[in-house]
Amino acid sequence: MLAKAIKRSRIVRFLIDLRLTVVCLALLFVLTFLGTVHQYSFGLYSAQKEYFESFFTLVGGLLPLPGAQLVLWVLFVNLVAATIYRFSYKAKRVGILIIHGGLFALFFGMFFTQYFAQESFLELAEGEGRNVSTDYFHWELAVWDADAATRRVAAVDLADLEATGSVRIEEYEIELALERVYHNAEAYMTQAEAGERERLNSSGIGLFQELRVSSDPQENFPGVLATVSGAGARVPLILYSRDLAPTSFLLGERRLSASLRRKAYQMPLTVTLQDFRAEFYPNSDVPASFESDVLVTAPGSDRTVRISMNSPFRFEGYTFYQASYRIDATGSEWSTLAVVENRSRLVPYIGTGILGLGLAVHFTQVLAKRTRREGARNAA
Amino acid sequence: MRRSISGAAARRAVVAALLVGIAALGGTQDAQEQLDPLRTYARGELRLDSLVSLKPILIVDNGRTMPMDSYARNLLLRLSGRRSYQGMVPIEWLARVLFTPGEVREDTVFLIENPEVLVALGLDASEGRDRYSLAFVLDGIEELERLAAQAGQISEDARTLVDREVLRLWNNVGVFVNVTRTMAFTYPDPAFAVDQAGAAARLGLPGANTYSYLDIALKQAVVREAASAATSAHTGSGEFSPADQTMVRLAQNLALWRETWSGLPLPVLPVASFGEVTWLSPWQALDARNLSGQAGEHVAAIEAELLTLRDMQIAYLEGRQLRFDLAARSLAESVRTRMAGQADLPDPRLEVAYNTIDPLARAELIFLLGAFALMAWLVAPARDRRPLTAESSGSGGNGGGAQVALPPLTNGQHANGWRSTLRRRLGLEGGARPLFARIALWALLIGFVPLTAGILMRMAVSGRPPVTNLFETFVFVAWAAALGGLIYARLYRNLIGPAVGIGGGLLMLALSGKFGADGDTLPVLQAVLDTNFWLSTHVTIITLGYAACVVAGIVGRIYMVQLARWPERERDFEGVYRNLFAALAFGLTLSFIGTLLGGVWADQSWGRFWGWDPKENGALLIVLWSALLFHAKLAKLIGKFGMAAGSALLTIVVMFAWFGINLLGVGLHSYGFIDGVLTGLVAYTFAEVAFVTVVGRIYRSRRRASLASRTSTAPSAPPTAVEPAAEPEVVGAGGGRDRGLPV
Repeated sequence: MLAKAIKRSRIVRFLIDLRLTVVCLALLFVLTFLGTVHQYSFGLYSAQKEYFESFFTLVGGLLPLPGAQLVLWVLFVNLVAATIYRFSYKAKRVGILIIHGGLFALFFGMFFTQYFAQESFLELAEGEGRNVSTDYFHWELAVWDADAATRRVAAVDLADLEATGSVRIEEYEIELALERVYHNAEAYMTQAEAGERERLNSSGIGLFQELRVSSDPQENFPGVLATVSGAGARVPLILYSRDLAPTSFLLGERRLSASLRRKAYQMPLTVTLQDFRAEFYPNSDVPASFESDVLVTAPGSDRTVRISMNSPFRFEGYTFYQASYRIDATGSEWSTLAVVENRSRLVPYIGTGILGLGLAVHFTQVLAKRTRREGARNAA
Repeated sequence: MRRSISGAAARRAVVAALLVGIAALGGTQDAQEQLDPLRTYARGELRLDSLVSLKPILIVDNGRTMPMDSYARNLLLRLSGRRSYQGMVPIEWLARVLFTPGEVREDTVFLIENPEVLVALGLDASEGRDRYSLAFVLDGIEELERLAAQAGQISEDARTLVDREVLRLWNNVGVFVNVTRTMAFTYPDPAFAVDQAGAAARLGLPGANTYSYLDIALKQAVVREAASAATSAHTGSGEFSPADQTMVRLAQNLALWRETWSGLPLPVLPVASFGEVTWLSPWQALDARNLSGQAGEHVAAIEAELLTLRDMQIAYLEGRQLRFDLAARSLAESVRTRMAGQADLPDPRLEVAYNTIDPLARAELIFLLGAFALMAWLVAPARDRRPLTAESSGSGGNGGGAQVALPPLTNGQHANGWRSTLRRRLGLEGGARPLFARIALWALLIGFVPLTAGILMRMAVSGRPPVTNLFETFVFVAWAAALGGLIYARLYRNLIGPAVGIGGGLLMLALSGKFGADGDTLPVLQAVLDTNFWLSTHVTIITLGYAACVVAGIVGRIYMVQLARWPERERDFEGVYRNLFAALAFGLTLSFIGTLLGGVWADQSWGRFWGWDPKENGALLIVLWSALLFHAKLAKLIGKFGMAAGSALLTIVVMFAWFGINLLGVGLHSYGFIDGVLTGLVAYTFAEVAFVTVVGRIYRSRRRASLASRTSTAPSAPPTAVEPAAEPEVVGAGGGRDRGLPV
């Protein structure tokens, strides 16, 4: 009774309407096309922010459209509603039903990845080991005790700090205040202007020149003017994202280090690059393959792993991929591994499997039906 | 051997002089012509009949080990955009450039598509040609160098068409000049004249003469030793003997040539050290440092190979076929023997055979004949021409259906022997089809053979699945369209089969020619693509999805025209509609599965299932558009005509996803940038939209008129053009009754 009433309600009738599906598919089509063209001028990151991960977008700054996220959510609700109220659950429709079940899995995988997966990278020189990976886009201000035997780092996300202006770090009993952020800057050695206190920097930087912020966030190198206060003293700092070394200073009795660095993520294991090899096709600089031998150290485990193109290494929801490499001026080889933490990575696989199964069932059903029909006609 | 050095000495000295002339990019041409007996000599009767023995010699280019024949083809295509030069096959042209460089200055091999480049170089652009000779380009060489250096500074994305053309021309001129110089190591040169009998004896040379770089470089250890002994003697005595002077000069010239010419091409001499194979050019092989890691017998073998190269040069100049063939074979044999156990050299014979047969071009030619037959059918006398609706839907009972019904086929009529059975099985039964339709179908069937063979040969040569680059996607879709057309023709006796097979096949092969025009069509793979599993699943399926969508587009257009022309006979075209529906369903399925498999591959390779990469988006657009059509039909927002129009427009989406994306030049998948195709794509889009609009309007007005006339003349008759209430199901391969199908 109630179910029927719900089914007749206007909102449900709207949500299960096939025309809503058509409108959403059309919008998604338009957004995908616009986003793809947008990439040509503004890069992938910008296209993702404007079209694919947004709820609303202004095309060319003029035409307002729902973003792909909104459309996908509506489409998802539409699918859920149709599953409950519209689909006919008959044996002959089972193929179509399985196909839409596969879509469910794909939607889940997509939303889960969107909101919970973490992508970062790890750049290692031969012989180097790390247990933190670094973010592609985000920066953080990190402070630690310069003299302590084990480094305990207190870090604040630059974007958060920019929003709040200052933050208190209890561990070192200091206050970190942000005075100015240059989102993309060039650094100069020039001394501070008259009347201004000299700011500390390990590389001798004294001045930033603001640069245009690139649409590709990997091309932006920020700098900050910040003040650390605590133990009755104030230390003005100038920190650059390309500083060669952290800046150390005395605050009361304690010597602290600070640096502006890519946001770091703790990993449950340490990865040490033992050997990197790149093979090239004969007489050319086209790489035929590249691979890294790494030593993986985790509590209770210690082994060598080979990571190469198309053959990643997986560990507890983390996956390590051979992404690229470089050879620096001194001739040492650096290997870049992409690190992805995604606990739902198998969901799209399952969705693909279900969808394939559904299509197979559907086609078999259609074929069987045709054969039956033709058989009946021949008999007649 | 030595005899021939002195024999050909005079001739070759002049070639060397000419080469130096080219090297300096100066010198007056007249003087060179006077000095050049080679020109008259090579133009005489003594010429090689065949260069077959040169074809299989292995060479490395762009990282791939290939036969010289392929190298010649790619080089000629790269320089001139052509597959032959003035009637010469590529290997003949290459041999001419290599062995008689004096003759090629006036050869018009450089393709300059953009006349602005000519103007910028200060060259005469009035002639309106688009291929130019080295001599012509040399007049503007300084400006070309300057412009190329400028263009090289600009990042790749920001280069204009002219920048790219300038760079291409500069590189091409460089490559061409380098190839003309390649064999100069065999030419006697004044730099290696030994005027002292004593010095000659010390070097083990037959006497005072002008020798080649090759002759002296083979004695480089003796020369160096003698030169350093002479230098130290000089510091002691303060005096050079004439023999010492010669030695010091030879040593200096050796060092000079070694450093200057080490970049010259033709890497045909492989050496292996520490498991890594490097291919040396003759010039690099003459640099002892490159052979330092080699065993003594290998060094001796390489020196022998260098001498056979000279043998080939001499035999070519003298037009001695047997000597040339023996030298070429001995070079190939020696390389193979030397590398046995050290590296896997490919067998060049299959690729040479592929080049020689050129199966794809043959298929294209046969399809072209088939296309003519199809066109002839369109203009043929009416009694031999039946509309495409020959296959009528189930009832076929109304007046329209009866007109177009085919004479029924009696099975007993042709039951004599296997040939008849085969013909019937293939749907080629005489009498049932008009003559030209049969010719078209035969063309499709015959053309399919070399097409399939071509794809199989390419797979055998590369050891890869059928599709690994953009060029191959077109070939594969041509194959799929031809196969689809054949299957369709086997099931239904109308012309849709041959039209789809020949039309699709011809179009795709023509496009593949366009996309293969920038060089090697069997290039090495980027590391990330180097996995046969994903290439054979994801890439093949997505390409088949393209094919199904293209077929849906063709059938959709046929259906639209039919409905617009005979709006009252919609029932007769029911079978065509069902085929359209099936093709579209296949397109959606294959694109969807292919896209998802691409996601799985992406997750395996770089850790994300979906990243909004342009090529992924392109595949998604196809999926979204076809899903949109099915849902819109289900929601009754569009009818059958709308489905057909949507399928026609789907081809625009497919073109965009397939190679429009590559034109945008971003993303992980962009494996080629093709100028000029963008214009074609935009024009195609406009044409397609115009087609759909015009046919749509005609359909609407005619349908209205047809309905109106029906209602006025026979108000009781049920209108034939209304849609049947039942939705057609997604069907496998076509539907409807099929009276031509043999049991």
